[in-house]
Amino acid sequence: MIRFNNVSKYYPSRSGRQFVFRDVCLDIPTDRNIGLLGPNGVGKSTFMKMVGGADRPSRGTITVDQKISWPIGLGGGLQGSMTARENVRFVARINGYKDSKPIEKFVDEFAEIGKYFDEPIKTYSSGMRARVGFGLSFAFDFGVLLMDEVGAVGDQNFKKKSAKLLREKTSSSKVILVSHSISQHQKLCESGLVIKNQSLFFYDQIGDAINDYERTYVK
Amino acid sequence: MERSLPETRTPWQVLSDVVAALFVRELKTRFGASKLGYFWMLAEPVAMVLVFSAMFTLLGRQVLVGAEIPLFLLTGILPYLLFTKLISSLTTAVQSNKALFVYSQVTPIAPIITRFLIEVAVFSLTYVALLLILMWAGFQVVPSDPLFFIAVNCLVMALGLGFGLVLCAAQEHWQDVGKLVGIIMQPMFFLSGIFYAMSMIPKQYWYLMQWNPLLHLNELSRSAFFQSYSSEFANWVFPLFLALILNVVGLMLFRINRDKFIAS
Repeated sequence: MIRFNNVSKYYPSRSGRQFVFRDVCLDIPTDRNIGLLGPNGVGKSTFMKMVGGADRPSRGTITVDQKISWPIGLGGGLQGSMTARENVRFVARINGYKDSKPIEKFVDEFAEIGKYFDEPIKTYSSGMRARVGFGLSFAFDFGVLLMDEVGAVGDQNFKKKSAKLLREKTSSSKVILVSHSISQHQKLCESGLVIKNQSLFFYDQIGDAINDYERTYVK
Repeated sequence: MERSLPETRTPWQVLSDVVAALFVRELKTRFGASKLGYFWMLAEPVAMVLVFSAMFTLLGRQVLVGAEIPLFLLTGILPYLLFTKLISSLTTAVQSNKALFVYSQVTPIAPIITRFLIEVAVFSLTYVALLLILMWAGFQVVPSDPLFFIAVNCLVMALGLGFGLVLCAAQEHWQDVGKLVGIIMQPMFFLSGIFYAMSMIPKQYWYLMQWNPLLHLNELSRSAFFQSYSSEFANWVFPLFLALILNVVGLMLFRINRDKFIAS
């Protein structure tokens, strides 16, 4: 369960406070995959960052009872100046793993980028970056994985491989997905969240969420 | 404003895991992959001591206020380097680790603690190494009042930490703080009693230099190290209270600004 208790989030701007969320009260279940829907700039990434702990609500509280990943996006959370191996080690260490070898091995094998695994991330292509970021997030036992537009890159092979792993994973851990592909939502998610009017609306069926999203935003 | 995570480790364990991870990361970027990086750590103070010793020797001085030149220089240069490096590396600590706050375990104070520990470790190792080299060269390298000597150097650390905390928070609101600090630090080299003692300065000018806490600390460092020197100028109450106030204010600023720190 992810509980939003009177959550407001605003950013200061030249024309005063820009509210992204205003007094949101909502319980989001974490026993199923959830698709997050909304157009650009409505607050999807802000939502993901707050749930993942990378940003704080301006007011109110968010409580969680699961281990939640950082927002996994296009290489999000990876340090350009460090190699993939150093990145993996760093994340393993801050998660309290004394021995990071098995995790390094897992990500190395999953990413399949060969000797580039020991080169700085900044020399990677966006596809290679996604492979490492994806592999890294799969290496830990998160209750909820936050995925922000991860389907966009990667070749056929990699897509197939990550889809398979994701299916295996979703028996134990669930996904909150941001994607602009409606078919991906339909394939992966059971329930849906729509962001509108600076608030969150939960739908038990992803179909209803997609309907609401299209009614509100698609002209 | 609270966010609870199911975490089996205590907050203290999480913080020390994060600091340990950051420590390894910082060491790698600081000293590079090669072992030569650690040599450069010693090179800067050694070069400064050598250049100034050579200058004083050419001027025909063997002793300053009863202390041998290399030791006199060392006991001023090392606290100065510690102080300026603490300030410059702490000022940018949060900014240069911004990308890592995406991980909820990494809090803004963690890079501050990490960089503080690194600077203190570098300082202590350099000090011991250089004193050992001077001992091998035949100098008398044991401080006349070791406990006071250690206390003075701890005070330098506390003062650097306090300035660092405050400036790091300021940097968040005004990008140019780092540059301003760089400009202020330039004359500090000449104003902090690195290659002179206050007994060599006429008393009527002392009031101009009393505002400089590092000068007080360098004078105290010499008083603690050399039997022959006791500073009339130095006052330990001023730097101590300044350090206390800056640390309290700095920690408060960190609490107030924590939302701003982690937002990218």
